[in-house]
Amino acid sequence: MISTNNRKIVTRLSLKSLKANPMRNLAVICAVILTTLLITSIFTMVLSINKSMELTQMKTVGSDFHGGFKYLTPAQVEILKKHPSIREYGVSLNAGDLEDGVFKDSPVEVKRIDEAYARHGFINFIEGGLPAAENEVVLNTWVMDKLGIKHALDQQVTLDINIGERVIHQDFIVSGYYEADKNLSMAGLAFVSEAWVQKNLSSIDPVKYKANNTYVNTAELSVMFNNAVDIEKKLNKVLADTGLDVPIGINWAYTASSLSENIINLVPYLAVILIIMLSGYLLIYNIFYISVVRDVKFYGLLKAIGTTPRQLKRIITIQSQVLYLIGLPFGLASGYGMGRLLSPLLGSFSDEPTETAYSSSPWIFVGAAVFAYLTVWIAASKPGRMAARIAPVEAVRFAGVSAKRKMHKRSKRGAQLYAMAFANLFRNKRKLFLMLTSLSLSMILFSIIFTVISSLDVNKYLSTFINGDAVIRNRAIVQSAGERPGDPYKLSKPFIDALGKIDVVERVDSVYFKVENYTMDDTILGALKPLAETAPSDPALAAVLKNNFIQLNLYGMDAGWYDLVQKDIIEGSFDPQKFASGNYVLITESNMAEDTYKSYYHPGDQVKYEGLGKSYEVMAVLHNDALYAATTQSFTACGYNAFFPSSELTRELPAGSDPPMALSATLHVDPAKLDSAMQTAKSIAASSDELSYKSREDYRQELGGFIRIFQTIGYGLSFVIALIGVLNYINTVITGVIARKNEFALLESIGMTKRQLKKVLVYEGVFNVLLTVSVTSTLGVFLTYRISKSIADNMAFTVFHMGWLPFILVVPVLAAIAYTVTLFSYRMLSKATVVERLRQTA
Amino acid sequence: MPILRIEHLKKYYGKDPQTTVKALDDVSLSVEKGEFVAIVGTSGSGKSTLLHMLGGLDRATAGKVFVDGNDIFAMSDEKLTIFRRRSVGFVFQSYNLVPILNVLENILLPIELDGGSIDQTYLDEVIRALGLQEKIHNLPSNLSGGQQQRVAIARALATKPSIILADEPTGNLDSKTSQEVLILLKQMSEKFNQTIVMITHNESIAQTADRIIRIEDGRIVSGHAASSGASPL
Amino acid sequence: MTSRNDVRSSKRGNFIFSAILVLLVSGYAGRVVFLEGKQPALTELTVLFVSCMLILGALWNWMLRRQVTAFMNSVDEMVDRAIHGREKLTHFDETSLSSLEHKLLRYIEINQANEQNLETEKNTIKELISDISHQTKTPLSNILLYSQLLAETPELGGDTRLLLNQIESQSEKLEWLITSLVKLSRLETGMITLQSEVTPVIATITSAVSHIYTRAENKGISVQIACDPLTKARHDHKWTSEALFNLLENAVKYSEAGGSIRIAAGGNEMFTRIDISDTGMGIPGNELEHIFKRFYRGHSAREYEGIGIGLYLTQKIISLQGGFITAASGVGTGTKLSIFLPQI
Repeated sequence: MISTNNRKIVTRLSLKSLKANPMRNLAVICAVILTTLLITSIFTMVLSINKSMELTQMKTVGSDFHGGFKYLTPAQVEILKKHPSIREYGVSLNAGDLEDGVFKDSPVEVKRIDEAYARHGFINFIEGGLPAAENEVVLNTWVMDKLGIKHALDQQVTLDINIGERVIHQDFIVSGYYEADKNLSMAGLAFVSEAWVQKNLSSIDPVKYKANNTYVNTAELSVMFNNAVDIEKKLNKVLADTGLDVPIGINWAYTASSLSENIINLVPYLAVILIIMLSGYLLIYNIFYISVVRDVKFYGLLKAIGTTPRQLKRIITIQSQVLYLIGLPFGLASGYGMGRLLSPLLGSFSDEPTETAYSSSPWIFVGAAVFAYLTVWIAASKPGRMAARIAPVEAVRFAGVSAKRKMHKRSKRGAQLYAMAFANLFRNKRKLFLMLTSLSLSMILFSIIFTVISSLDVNKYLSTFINGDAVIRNRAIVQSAGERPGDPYKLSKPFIDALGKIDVVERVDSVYFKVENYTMDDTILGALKPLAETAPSDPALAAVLKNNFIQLNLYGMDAGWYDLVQKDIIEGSFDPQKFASGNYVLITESNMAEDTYKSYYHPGDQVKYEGLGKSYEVMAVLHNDALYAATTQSFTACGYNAFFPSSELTRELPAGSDPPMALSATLHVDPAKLDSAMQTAKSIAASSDELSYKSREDYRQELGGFIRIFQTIGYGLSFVIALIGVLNYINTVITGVIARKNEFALLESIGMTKRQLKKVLVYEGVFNVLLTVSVTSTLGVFLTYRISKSIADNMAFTVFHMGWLPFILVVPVLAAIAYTVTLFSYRMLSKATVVERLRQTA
Repeated sequence: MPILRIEHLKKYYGKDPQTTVKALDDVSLSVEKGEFVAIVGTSGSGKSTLLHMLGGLDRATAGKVFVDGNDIFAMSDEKLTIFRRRSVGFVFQSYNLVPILNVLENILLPIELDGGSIDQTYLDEVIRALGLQEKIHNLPSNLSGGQQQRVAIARALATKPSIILADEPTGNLDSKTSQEVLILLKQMSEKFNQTIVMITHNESIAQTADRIIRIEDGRIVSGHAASSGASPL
Repeated sequence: MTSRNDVRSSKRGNFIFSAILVLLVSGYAGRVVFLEGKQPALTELTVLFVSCMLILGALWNWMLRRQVTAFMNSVDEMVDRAIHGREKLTHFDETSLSSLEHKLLRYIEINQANEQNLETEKNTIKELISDISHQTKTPLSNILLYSQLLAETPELGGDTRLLLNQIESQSEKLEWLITSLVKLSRLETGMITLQSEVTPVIATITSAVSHIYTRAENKGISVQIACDPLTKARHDHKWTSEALFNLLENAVKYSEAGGSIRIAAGGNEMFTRIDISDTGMGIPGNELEHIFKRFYRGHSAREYEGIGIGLYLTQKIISLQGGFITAASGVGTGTKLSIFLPQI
């Protein structure tokens, strides 16, 4: 019962033994700082990205209100806003839309809002504020650009506001303006004053207009609750309590949680953290292990005097905890700093443009501290247990190499030393095997990563996206979620001709695009039906079969693209001239079901396309992602891409068939006049919203950033892995030497000189290195080649290129490490004995 | 009632029968409570090994050791250590003191490990008797060999243990100090009913013991039976 | 004093902590209810929470108390076992109970060893005394013998005869002294075991008187006994007789010729009383309290022979039998010594 009050002495022993070992303390503290730093930065980055994504989503939604009630009458607003569960609210009134021609493709809504709405709606005034007078208006910067007015207050502007029953044409003065991202939200906003609303909308009955779907003069009450939990339920409760029945809106930025739902996304981060913890563990474990082995006598004496195994373990534990606490704050602080620095880097990984928000959640520090503590705790536990099991008789055992005898004999036993060293190596086969494995593994991993990185080929990447020097694409053709509508036909023939007319443009290669809903034929059914049986849960497959047609992407390409066909051919062969005749089609494999890529047709088959009114012979079957740069870069379920010469799409098509859209125009420019051509083309594209201009340089820069990130992470990872291997090696050598202290003493007593001893150790190190090198240069090279090659071939922008540097480096680096470690461990041996000798003669 | 009883103790080193070293070869012994036993023998005869066995510092290859009725080798490491802490005082030949603690802390170490209270008067007496008053705040590295040994003796006496096991405790002391230390030990042992088992080379010290046990090549050659206790009263 | 203060402060501490717990829990609960409004579900939950917390707190408190009591019980058990030499309660555990037990057992062991040493020493003394008494007998009797022989030598000069007388009387004194000392040491080391029985005291008295009668008669002092033959007391006949003899010896020594000594015995409620009164020179008041002390000689008694252990011996003998002795006296009016012996 009630344990003894001996904690004080154990603590005192721990602290004093800490003080006696400043070098070791420094090493452990550094290891703790390193581990904590890395973990904290990862946490910071993850949470910051999470926050950034949340923020972006909210900006897309338009506000950070939890939810709202729509299309309300003023009376309804009054009732609803009084509900006790509503912590904050903002009222906005739909006033109409801007009718001006310039806004045809980018609609701008007119509203009347209040302070709360402005605050939650990310409306940060650059200058000015909400309108008060009847002729005042608030606009955002891109709207002002489109209207052609300066970004300043009191600018005069004439607007046409469509309020449903009529259009009001009025002059306004800008009372305030703010910055908005045109691409983020669906529609732009302009704000008018209450005075204006009173004057112009009072005649409009919101109820009537709601029924008519015009929504003018209906109000929206946006609310904030106490928390974001169960927003829908809260909104419904309000409705139930007030007895009203109006449509509700939920801010999906809260419900579509970014990171936590997608646990898959977290896995790489977890893996990285695990690796960090592993390396931290190894470092700290090594240091403590060596420390315990060195101080065997000390612990043995303590045990002889009466320190129980549990107390001895506690000494080690307390030491590790103290060192952890010292290193923790530094690690946390520097890790947070580094995390903030690196967050923007990771943000550029995602496709959507994100604004970086920095998270300073306390969970970062708590989490990192916990993980770091776990690492330290686990690392110190085995050495602690070792210390606990030390036999007390170690205190009295004679150990170490004495410095007494001096033999000047130059021994003839030189050759035998080799043999002894060699034999020593194989004494503990398991340890040798482990060491070799870990060292080789680190080496191989390092070389794989190195090889893959050196295989990164910019050109290959570029060629996936762009064929010539610049490309103008019509983004409207590919609709993604939340994108603004546009004219898919914007890139018209005259437009393309205009591009060609730019004098330095040598050639324009266009790609035309048309969608065809192809009714299933027997071949297709024959391929899909069996799949439906084996994979019945695939919704896409089921839908397609139900609809009885598959959606095909038909592409018509100019001759400039023909060169890229060859490399993607799976079946058949490509004959450009025959192809140009217009009677042939190139078909890609279809994604029939999850991971199943097969072609319905084979070279020689005939297929008829209703939309083109003709049937074609299949010339060749291509990869699913063939001619990627030319396509819309999106694929349909169970459908495929079919490539024709552009003439086939641009000719007279059968009645009822939609005309083709020009997807992209790729410019090939005289390299000498690149810049001027770029400028002209760019300005042409800027005139429309749908057209995007990207030059080869732009892509190159994108890739450059990407490569940089890849390199940083890749090299960092491989460095850590190499470190682990090296540390393991060091540990094995040092402990091997220390554990053989007695043996060395024995050898010395039978006549071996210190010189000879040193030689044996050095030879052992050399043999170690030789063994390792032999393994890595055979198995290592082989594995690296195979694995790197398969990775490189599978990645879009790598061309396999074997990296020989690691293998060459390994020899000198390893030799250097082996030599220093051996010397160091030898010095440790002799040092102990000098001290002992002093003691004995004192 | 014998406080120490050894039954057929064997300590062999090495597995190969041809190269086995027999440090102790079937030793049996019993020591009465309060007895002062001296162990003598040539170098390598196994005396230190025997002493280590008595204190449970090392495990035997075969045989049993009973201390105050407790089978040492059947006890767990934890319990054995606690037993040692409370019941045995050790004086080793060398490396007795914990280098990171000063003299006073070294002496108090077994008491503090047990969480016990300190008998200040008694300790002062012991420290004074061993002439260590001036040095109690010194670190072991600042002491001579003889001083270190005296500190070890003080530590061995600190908990008033039932048994004191000493390996050449007067090895580094001059003859006068040796005598004084011996008298102190005997006084303490009488006052606190302690058993002393001491390894010594010094014949005159051995003569003051109640019994002399001679060891040769791991076997006891004389001194098996406890003497008839003709105490010089 | 300190323990009572400790108990009081710990009770106070207990009270303070419980009060804080109750306040915090109910404060928090109340505030929550207040903030969220009167919702039955929440109120229920709150009430449940508060009561659970209180019950938990009380339970924990009770459990801790029980632990402490159990611990005290094991301490008690441990001490019991130690005292009665039963098996140990703990076996080298890392607990303060085990440490305490070890300390206690060690202390008991040391004490027992000391006791044994004392025992041994006592026995040694016993032997020593018996050896001495044996050893001195022979030389003494020899001295006496030789002096007597010498006395019988004819034609001894008057001076020589005087010297011889001196030798004889001194030797006798020496013999008496040694015998007394031996008796004394025996009494002091508890080596004498008195065998007390309830018998009539008349026999003991007459036995003592018989030894002194001749001397008294020679000095012309009359002795009277007034004792009912049925008067009984629990006493060791031999030793009490000796004690009485010492008193009578004193009475004779310090009385003049023609004086009288009277011995009276009678039983009371619990004790039987034996009075020995004489008409001697008496003891001055300021010396009365000292007369029973070892080797005490009164001022006026200095002229007489004696060492001063007779009364001490007597008192020892009487008190060993469970009785006591008192004295009353006045200068020139005689002395009365009263012995009280237990009746049962």
